[in-house]
Amino acid sequence: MKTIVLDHIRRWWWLWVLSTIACTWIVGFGSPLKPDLSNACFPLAMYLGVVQLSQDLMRTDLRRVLRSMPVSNRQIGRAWWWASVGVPGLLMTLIVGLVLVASRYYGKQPLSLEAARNFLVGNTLLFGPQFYFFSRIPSLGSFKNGRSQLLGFLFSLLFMATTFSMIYFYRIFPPHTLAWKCFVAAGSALTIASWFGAEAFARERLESPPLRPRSDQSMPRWMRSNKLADRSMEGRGGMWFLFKTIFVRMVLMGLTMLLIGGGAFRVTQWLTNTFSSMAIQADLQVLIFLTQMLFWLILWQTMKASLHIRFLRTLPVPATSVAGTLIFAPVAAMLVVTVFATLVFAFLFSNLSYNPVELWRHGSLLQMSLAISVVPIVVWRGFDLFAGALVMAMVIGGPVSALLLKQHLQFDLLTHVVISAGLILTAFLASTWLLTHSSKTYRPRKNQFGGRHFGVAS
Amino acid sequence: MTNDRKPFLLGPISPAAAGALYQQIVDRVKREVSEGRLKPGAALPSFRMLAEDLLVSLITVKRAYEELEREGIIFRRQGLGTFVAAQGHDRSREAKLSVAEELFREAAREAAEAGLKPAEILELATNIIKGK
Amino acid sequence: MNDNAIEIRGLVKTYFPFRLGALDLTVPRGAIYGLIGPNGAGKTTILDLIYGMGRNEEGEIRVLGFDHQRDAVALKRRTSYVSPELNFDVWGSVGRAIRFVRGFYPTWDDAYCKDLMKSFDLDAGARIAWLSFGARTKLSVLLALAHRPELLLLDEPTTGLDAVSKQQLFAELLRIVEDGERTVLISSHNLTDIERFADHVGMIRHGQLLLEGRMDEVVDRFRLAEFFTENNAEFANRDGFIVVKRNENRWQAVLDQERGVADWLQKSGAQNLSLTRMTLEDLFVALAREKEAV
Repeated sequence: MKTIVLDHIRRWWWLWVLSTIACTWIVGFGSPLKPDLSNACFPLAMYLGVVQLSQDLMRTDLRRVLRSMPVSNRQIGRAWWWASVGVPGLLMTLIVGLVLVASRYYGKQPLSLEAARNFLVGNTLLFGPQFYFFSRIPSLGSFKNGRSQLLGFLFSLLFMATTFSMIYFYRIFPPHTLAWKCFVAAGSALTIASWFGAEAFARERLESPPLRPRSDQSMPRWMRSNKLADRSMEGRGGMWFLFKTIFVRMVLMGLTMLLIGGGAFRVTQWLTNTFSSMAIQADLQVLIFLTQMLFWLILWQTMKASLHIRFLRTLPVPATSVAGTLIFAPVAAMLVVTVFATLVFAFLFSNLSYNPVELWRHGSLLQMSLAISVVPIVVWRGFDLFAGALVMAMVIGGPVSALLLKQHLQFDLLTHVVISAGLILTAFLASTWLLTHSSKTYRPRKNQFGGRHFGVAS
Repeated sequence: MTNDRKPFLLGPISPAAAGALYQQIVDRVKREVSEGRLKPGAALPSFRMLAEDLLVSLITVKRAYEELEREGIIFRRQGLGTFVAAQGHDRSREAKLSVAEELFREAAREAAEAGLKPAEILELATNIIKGK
Repeated sequence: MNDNAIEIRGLVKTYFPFRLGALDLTVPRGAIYGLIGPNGAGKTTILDLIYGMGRNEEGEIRVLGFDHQRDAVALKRRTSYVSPELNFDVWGSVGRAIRFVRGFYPTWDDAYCKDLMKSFDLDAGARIAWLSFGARTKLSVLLALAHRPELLLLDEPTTGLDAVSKQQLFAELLRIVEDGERTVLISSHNLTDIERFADHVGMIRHGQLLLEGRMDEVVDRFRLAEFFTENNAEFANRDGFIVVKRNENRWQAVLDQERGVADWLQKSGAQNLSLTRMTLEDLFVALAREKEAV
């Protein structure tokens, strides 16, 4: 059991280190929003909890290895629990404890015991429910009937809600209220339940059919093939088709997530308005945060396209055309997404005061060009540890620093445009150069792309 | 339906079997001819067709045909194709005889090395021929 | 018109600590050329350099008369690359992948594409992510063949293919070179296949070309020599002579008949020398091990 936990930490150490640093910083120096921690929350469970395990489980080879090892399902399940609930919880306690002691001696404004306790309880009690909800999602291979599909949908929703609720955690569950007490009770109960459900969870995941079955007969019919696709051969192909595919998928993905995110926010706002005194404001800050998270998420589509760089390089187009598509299709899509973001915002909150230019002026353009700079990194290194850590650091750091530095980023629009254009152009030139000067990352039998790292190929 | 044009069919050949690939083709064609399944004047498939049929490289078939032509078993007509020579039957019979002779010589040597006397070798050969 | 589909002269590329070259390679037009070599010999590097994935430090690559850097696009329009490692997942369905690739080639043949889809059992609506490994290779072959390239480069195409699919693939390759205009270069570890289907063979080791030529001539050139020695005569590897096995006074060695080593052997005290034909595979193993033995 210890071996499995240690192996897990060894493979994800970089994310643990990054999260620990970020978390210590937030606890130590107060929230970016308020200095007294009452509103502080570092979404540690977004990175450390069962999220890592879910990435691991997408790799069928890991399951195959575990299945062949002389350990029981109970041991595996409990090892997973420790890796996703126990150890992160202890880490959180350690961080808060250290900061508390340190602030007594060095702080100008010592951290109050109560604030520290609330922070600790609020954050650690998220790991358990997260693990519990995730463990109840049936694995994809056993998605056979309507009931398991419905359960899967329900628990996925609860899992997502737990994971993302921490962004506005103290607004939903302000301390000393009934909501807070309910949260503490439910969180404790689910943490205990997750410990006892761990064995069944491990059994279900390890013994279910693999994610990618040898024959696709075990998949639901709609997943196998669709009749529409029979006509998918028709139409204009070539590089234009790749551009269009990336663009359309990114815009659709962005729009969907804007609607889901905005909708969830709208519901939360209604709940807090109704049940607590601390109502959430749907202001520019929310809009910026939502949009900028999106850039990173929808960039996934470009990552998927970069999986076949080797093939793209054998097609009769110059390297500039390949690099151009991988860079400018997402740029175009992200620009469109910022327009959609203001529209969705206006629609959901009946707030017409924001326009895309305002978003761009508040760092969206910079955020966008920062996201694009991942493309040359991936062309250069593939999804290796370095690139992965760098991307994760930017995903974590980007939107947060945009919020923190927004006072310092008060340039005029033109400066934003010039800096962003410079970054994007650099990314384009770098990609072109890398495509022609090295084939290191996309050589066959190296498996940087072929593996299921970061869940890309699944 | 013509009876004199039997379909051309050579058995499978394989690098695992004895002899070079082209030699295996040569032997098969000779057997077809000497056993009368390929009559004089019958057309042989083109290089390319035979290569695709046997799943071997063109160069192998080309070399086999050259060998057969050199031995006078087949002949080529520019633009028409490749045919079994009139004397092909005799030639391939001669060729077969010389192969048989060689094999007998080899068998005799092996037997002698094993310590058999000429009379015993003869007896062994007679027994084999009679199918004992 | 140039008679060679690929001409590589003085090619040098360093991936520290690996060094390719200086390498010369000639693939004649109309041939099926087998490129063989141990793992890490530089086969994939050669294919990469042809396609401009990485820059060579020295030397020249001419493909179908085109310079591989200056005329990269023209070159790529007339060639195709097949590898089971290529990833098409981003396209979702087989049909979309076909649509994407078709857009690049004015010579794309829709009827041929349909035929290939039928014989490879690939359905336009099939999801690429759910295809078996072999079926992915077939998709790669299909995308490469359907525009009727003048030169086809295959990198380990038989990996993961069952025997039937493999025969199907080779039958298709033989049909391609039928008119004597189209050329196939195939890199593979399956030497039985290479010996059977390739007209020409080139063997590389440690980034150097070891031998190159017509398959039958190359295979005929070498013999497995078996002999024994008295008076403890010793034989070491030399040009055209590689010791394969030795058990006290019994020896097995590979012998290059063009080097006249047979006479030398007999003069030096080899007895009962017998020479037998070798398969490409035996020859490969002996040559690949040569350096280790010394």
